[in-house]
Amino acid sequence: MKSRHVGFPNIDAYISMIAIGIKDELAYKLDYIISLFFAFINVLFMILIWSAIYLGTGVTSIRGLSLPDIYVYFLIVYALHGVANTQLQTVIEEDIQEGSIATAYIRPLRYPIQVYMRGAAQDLMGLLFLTIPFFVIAALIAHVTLTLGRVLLLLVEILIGYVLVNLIGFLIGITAVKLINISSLEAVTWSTVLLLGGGILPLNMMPLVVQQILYISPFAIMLYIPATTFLGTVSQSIIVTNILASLAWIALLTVVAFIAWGKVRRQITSAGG
Amino acid sequence: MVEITLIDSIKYYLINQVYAWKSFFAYRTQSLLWLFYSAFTGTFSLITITVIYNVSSGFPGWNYYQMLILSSTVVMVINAIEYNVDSWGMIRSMRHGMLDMRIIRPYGLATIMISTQLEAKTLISGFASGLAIFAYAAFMLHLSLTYIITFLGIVAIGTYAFMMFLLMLTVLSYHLFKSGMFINGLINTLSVVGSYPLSVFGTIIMLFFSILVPIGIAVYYPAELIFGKINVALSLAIILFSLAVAFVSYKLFYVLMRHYTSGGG
Repeated sequence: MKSRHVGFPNIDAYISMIAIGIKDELAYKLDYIISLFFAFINVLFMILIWSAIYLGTGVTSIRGLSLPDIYVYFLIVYALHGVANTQLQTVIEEDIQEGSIATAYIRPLRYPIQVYMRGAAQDLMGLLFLTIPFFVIAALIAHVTLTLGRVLLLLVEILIGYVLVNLIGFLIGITAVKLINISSLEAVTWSTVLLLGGGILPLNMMPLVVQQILYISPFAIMLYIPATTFLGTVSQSIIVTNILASLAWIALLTVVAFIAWGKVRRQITSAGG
Repeated sequence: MVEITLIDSIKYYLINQVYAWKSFFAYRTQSLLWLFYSAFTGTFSLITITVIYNVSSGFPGWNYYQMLILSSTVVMVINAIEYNVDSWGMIRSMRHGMLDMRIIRPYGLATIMISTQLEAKTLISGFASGLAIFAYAAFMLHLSLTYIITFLGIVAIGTYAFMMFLLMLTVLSYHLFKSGMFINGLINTLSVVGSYPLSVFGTIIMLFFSILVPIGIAVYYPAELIFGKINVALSLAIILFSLAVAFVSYKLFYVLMRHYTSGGG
């Protein structure tokens, strides 16, 4: 299939796609609100689980993290769930399964950007209803002094994590051109991101060798590094190593995404309608 | 009128499974890859529990292998339930009217809905990895075969009750929202909550996940029984309660389905 190209990016059309995406998201409002409730309640459960470990065994600190640090850590990690998350793979999979890729492809818009814009609606909602509220709660209970430098560093890390998660989502999504049903791959990938990114356990609790590998992986910057930057419990050398490694991952995955998309877009077939 | 026996219903379920597995293995390499990937989900709880017990002495009253039994049982139960009750798929089939042509078949509605969810085949390897971890932990704890069979029997009753509950909740969600986004959130929450002793969450949450959302009766209380934390009388009460949950959920499911209106055609 060959898509039509326009000389200049059709910004209005792309923004309209975000607006449509938001309307789609809010089509089932109460369902969405209950989903948010589960996101909030999961933080409470993680806090209770770690409280049982700390209080039940009488320790005040595990690997440099006190119990209040753990509370803040999980609040930030769940805040980051709003941005370290992407719908690209789901959007591409649905387009291919339902055949709507045919109509999407004939629009005078670049398909990968279209897909991103449709997914971005959910990212925006996550940012608004998950990330910001959790960050505010964490800032209120953390009693940490956030200098301008640290805030900027946090923003850079979050942005890098967001770009990485979207690149991974895109690469997984385009496998649907060949595989059609990628729901299992999606589920396993995001469970892996959670585990290796520090969403279930702070990474400094892992064995040292595993930690060193994870600090140069693309996962740590999605959750662990921003959360510990916020807390101020991670060393500068780890932050620098991880940011540099993540930038290298972005460069690598971008090249792979370009090459892979160049190859698979010629093989796209509409499966239904 | 054709009289449908339990055997007929089981046959119908199995025929659908055969069809689903054949469809799944139509693309052999891809399906094996999916099964391999899915097996990893069972290992996540093993990693989490192992790390927790490496850096601390873990949960008071629960040793490492007991925790592995608890978390691997949750993996098995959740995978078994989702294998049969794909809430999102069911709601989509109601919304698009695909269910309509299925429910005219001469089987029970619950049988039809459970039998025709054909998309979640990979969950079986998640179940298998949970079972492998369970077997390892049971071996390390030197649990006798009688204990294991008793435990799995009570878990099976609890799982059936939970499955009926989820089926009812799926139809309720369709009635209320015409959607079921929140059920995924609920399942994720249950995977987390069920992997740890319910007592760590406090009395209110413990009661909530024992009575209103029955993950406790499927996993936590059977584990407490085999580790001698509750007595036999209480475990009998839990079995009776599981059966009551299954019965009430089943009845409610039928009441809700009586008012089912298709979303499309």
